Amino acid sequence: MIDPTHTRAAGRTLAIAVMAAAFGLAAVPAASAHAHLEKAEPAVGATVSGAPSEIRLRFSEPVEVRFSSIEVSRAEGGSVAAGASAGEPGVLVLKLARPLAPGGYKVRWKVISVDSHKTEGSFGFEVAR
Amino acid sequence: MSRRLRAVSLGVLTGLSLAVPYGVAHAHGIAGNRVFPATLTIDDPAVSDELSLPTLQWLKGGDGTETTDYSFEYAKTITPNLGFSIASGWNQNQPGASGFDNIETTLKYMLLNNAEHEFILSVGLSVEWGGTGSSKVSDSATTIAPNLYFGKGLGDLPDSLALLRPFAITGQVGLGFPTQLTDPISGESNARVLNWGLSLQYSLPYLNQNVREMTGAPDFIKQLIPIVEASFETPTSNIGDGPRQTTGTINPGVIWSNGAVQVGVEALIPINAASGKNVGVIGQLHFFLDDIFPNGIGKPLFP
Repeated sequence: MIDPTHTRAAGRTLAIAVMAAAFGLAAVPAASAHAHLEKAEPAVGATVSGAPSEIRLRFSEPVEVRFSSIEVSRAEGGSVAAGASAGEPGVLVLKLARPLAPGGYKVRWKVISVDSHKTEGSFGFEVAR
Repeated sequence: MSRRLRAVSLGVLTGLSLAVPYGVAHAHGIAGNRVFPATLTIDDPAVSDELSLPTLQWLKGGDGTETTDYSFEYAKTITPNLGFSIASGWNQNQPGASGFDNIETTLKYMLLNNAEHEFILSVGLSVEWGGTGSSKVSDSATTIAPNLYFGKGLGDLPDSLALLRPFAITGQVGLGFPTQLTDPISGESNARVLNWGLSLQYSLPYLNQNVREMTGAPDFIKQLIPIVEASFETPTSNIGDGPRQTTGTINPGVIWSNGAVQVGVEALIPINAASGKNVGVIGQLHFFLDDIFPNGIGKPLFP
């Protein structure tokens, strides 16, 4: 007959081993990760008082500028500007050749992180009248 | 060396050894702008490289038995759309017996990933291998279960409903077919059981990145996903003298994720007396291996 005390001790030992393995994994820093949007200028969902001269997106990871893009379109449709250039590491910038007229706009972005993970997103902002 | 110290040493070495590298990296559950988190009591629709270690669950059953489960699940992509997972754990009952659960394996295939509508549809085949766990707590019969998984984000709602866009719904339904209709030892019927469940999520990361910047909120808050899961079991046939009612729990909780690591905790609220006598709890530490080891075990075997 198996001693229940032994069984409970074995269970506790197993639980400790499992938790230790988990914390061992958690201690390993991420080699790299999906690039998620951390900050946008204009801000996500914001209303800005003056026409912005650029769209600046900061990501959680460095991105491959060659394979990443930003597109700005009017809320009712119609592309206004597209492209991307590098800012500081993890930052993607789209310079706007012409000031944006008052109204609503949509920004769509697609990025490839330096370890080739693809992410995308979109948000709106408004230029105040 | 004491037994506990040996366990800690072995555990840490196991965790760190997964950092050794083996050689476009593929995403965990992403459809367009939507990142579906790993859910705790039902399976999410993603095919990905992930590790849940550990999942801890405590619940007082309808018969008054307190059950604590310590489990793990490791999922590996074979191709970007096809994945395999293996799961097991330790089941502790008070009063009652304790022992290892049966090993369960699942083959899952992502049929559809629609970025515009944030929709994923997957199918899978799970096998609980009877007799691989302790006979005191696990079934001797092998059970085969086809499964259907889906996830739908509400990011395609119109601008007038923008604050509802962070919502997402996921679900799973599967029917278990025991390979033995009668338990050879007890003589009881092995019922065919429908396992089904849903989750409703509100993603603050989605809100912050796609709808409205959470200005001034600490990063920790921006990384939270409040969630309610519901998981049920319904005996459908070959029930014999066994219980016929649906049992399950409603599980409100919250998930935190930084993209590479996820921590989730939910209450387990029994839906009826047969499901449990008190509110239980489940907690999970989850690793997205495609982010942690993108050039090693975190990428498909056949990209």
